Amino acid sequence: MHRIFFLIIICAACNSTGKRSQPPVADSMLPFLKQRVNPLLQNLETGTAKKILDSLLPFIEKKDNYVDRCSWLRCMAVVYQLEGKLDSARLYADRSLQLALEKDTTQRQIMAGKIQTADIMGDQHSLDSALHYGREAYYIARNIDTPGLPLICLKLYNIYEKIGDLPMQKKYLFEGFMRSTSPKHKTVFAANIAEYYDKVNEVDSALLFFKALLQDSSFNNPYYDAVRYETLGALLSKKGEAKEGLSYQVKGIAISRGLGELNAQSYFNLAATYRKLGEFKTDKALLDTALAYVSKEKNWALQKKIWRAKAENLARQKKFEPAYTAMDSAAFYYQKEVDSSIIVQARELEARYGLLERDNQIKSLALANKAGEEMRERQRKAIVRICTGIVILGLLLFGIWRGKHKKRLAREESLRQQLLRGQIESHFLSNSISGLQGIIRAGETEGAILVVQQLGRLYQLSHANAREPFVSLNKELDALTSYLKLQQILFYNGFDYHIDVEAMPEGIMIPPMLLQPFAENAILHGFAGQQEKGQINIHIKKDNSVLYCIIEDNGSGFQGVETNHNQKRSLSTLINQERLQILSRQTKTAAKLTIVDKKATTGESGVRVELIVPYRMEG
Amino acid sequence: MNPPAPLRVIIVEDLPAIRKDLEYLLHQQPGFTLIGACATVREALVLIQSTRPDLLLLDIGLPDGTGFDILEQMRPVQSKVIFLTAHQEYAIKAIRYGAIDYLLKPLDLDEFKEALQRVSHAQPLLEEQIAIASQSFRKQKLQDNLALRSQQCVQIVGLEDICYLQADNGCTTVFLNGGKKIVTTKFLKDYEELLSGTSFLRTHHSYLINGTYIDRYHPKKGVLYLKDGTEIPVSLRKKEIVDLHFKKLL
Repeated sequence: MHRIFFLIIICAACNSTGKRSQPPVADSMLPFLKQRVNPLLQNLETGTAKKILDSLLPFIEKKDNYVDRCSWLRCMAVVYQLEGKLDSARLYADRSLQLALEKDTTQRQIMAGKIQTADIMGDQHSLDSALHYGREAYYIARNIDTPGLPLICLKLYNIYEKIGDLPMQKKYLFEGFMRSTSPKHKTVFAANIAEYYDKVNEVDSALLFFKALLQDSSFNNPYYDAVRYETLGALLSKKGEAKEGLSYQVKGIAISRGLGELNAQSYFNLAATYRKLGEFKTDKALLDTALAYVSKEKNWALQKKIWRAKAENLARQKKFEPAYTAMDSAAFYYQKEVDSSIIVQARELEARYGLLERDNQIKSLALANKAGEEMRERQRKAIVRICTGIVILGLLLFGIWRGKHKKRLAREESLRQQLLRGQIESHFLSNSISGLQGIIRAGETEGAILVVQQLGRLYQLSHANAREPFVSLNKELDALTSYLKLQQILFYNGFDYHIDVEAMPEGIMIPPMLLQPFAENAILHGFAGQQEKGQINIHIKKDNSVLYCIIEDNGSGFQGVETNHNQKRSLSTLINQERLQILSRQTKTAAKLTIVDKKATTGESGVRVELIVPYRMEG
Repeated sequence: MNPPAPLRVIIVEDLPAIRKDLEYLLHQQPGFTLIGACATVREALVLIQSTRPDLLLLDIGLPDGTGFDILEQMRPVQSKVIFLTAHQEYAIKAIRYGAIDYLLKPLDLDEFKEALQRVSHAQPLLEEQIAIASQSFRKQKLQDNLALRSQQCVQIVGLEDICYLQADNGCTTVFLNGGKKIVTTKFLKDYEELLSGTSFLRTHHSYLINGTYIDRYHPKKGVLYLKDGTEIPVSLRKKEIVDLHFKKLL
């Protein structure tokens, strides 16, 4: 009978919790559900309740509020559960839970859905699953601190009762009792605690609790009253206070009758009291009625008890023959009870075993989960580290690249300046001027004028050229020509030169001062101390993105050059070698400098310099 | 009495225009006769070997080496030498350390004449002079020795042996540790320049002191005492330099 309480109270509790989590929702269905539907359910008026719920559906759908919808679905589930249509009840409960899982962030709807599912599953004897859902609801309830917790305790107690786990029953009953805040809930727990004590034969403790119930007049409900009176009466009668017990029992049964809730147990209990009072006739009549009820309930144990009670009744009336017959019947039903209890035990074992397995599964799942979580955490950390590493590496590489790039530019710049300085500050200027002085002293006016002209032009061009990373090929060739002309005079026509440029488009730009150092080498080093007249041939042609430059002389070649005497010669060569490497990296085009002593190749004397120079187009 | 035989001269200079100029200038100087000119170390060595010249006009920078290369390879040196150089600070200082004559390019006619007159009376170079100059030039580090040229001879002294130098009528007297002194034909200013960056300190327009020989200093009196007791005046204008020197020592 207390089951009815659960359903109703759970329904109400969930609604109230739902309401709590969603404070003042305008036009909420909740108050309505609570006020109109709950009483109907409490009174088992499922038909009326269903009608009202059906009529609410359009509004619920229109409002599209998940709290309302979950509550409505749960109400429907309760209706079907009360009607015994457990599959349908399960369907609605599932939908409610599903919706809650999708939408609910407060966990309250999820909790309500879970505990309801547990309840229905308990009715369906899927105790392991029921326990699973019940526990989940329990943990949610503990986390979110809800007044629904006692009811969940009750639910769990109910499931454990079905399983037959006494310690767990006691645990949840007392937890529920302690946590109950409303007298209503407390009473329910007290009733169940009394029943529990009865079950473990602690009638005194049970009485204590039940008397406590009587102190409470705050709650008025016929079912509750019926249960209260009947149970208290039965307990008193068991304790030997049959008369006092009887008055309570009669009170209770009267209420039950009014509700149409009479059952075999009630009659059996009442009969027992009468039997104690010696009113065997009434006892017999009541026991027969109980038998009539119990045959519908298929409760073998109770049937056995009734038959035993009948036998006792007959025996006390000294009617031993019928008493034996009654005992036979009792024995028969005892056999049935044992059989069925074996089945029940088997089922319990199965349930327990299932539960254990389930527990292990959950544990291993939790363990796997934890391991997975740790793994994921590690992976996350690793990913973060790797990402950070990559980013830092990237930045570093970028920095290095930029640094290198800048360095290259700076290096090229400094090399260029070095060449320029070399030209201006070295002997060249002072030699030129000293030479010019000689020419003037010798009275060679024309030569002197030429020297001044070329020197002026050369310096103007070199200065302008050396400031830019790229200059037009024409300007560079002008500078080269000026240089050669000047040297020709200063060397008293000690050499001839020829510059040959193959036809190429306008606007070709090359790095300045690339060619001149090689011409200089030929003049200063190649022709020095040589009797034969020097000859420099410069040939330039274009091929795709590079210029081929060849500077050839007929000088003395490299002989003696390997010694440290010719530092300047190798210095300018090294500088230009490096400039070409930088240029190659900058333009991503192969650049090359090859210097060969022709003696080793063609057998002629002199040096052949080949340059592959990447060029740019102007603009 | 026969006039002295003219000095036989070889010019080693790589730029023909300058070489011609030198030939031209030399041609105008009585008492000198040009016996050869060349542009490289290699040519020069051959020429010197075969002609044994009295005087070399020697360019420092040559296509296949330096003037020092020539001097080092012609042993014993029996020639007087005048170096020719463009304004290369380091080469000049090296040459002066060796107390060797030199001429700056472009050539100044008066300097040219003066240098020729000077060497005509001088002795051929000492090997030590060449060593000091060429080592200073090669290693780009001045040597610890200095060639001092007096009227009569050239003497090599270690820098640490010089106590102080005193200006004396356009000449410079170098006082050495142990009381010896050498009168050189150079100005004190030349030595101040030459010894800049060493331990020498100009305390007075007439005095250049080796700092390592200073015993004590009387700022008020403006007098420095050397270890041997010599009093060296400190002029007002040089006081700051001396003060700074002592501050550094502290």
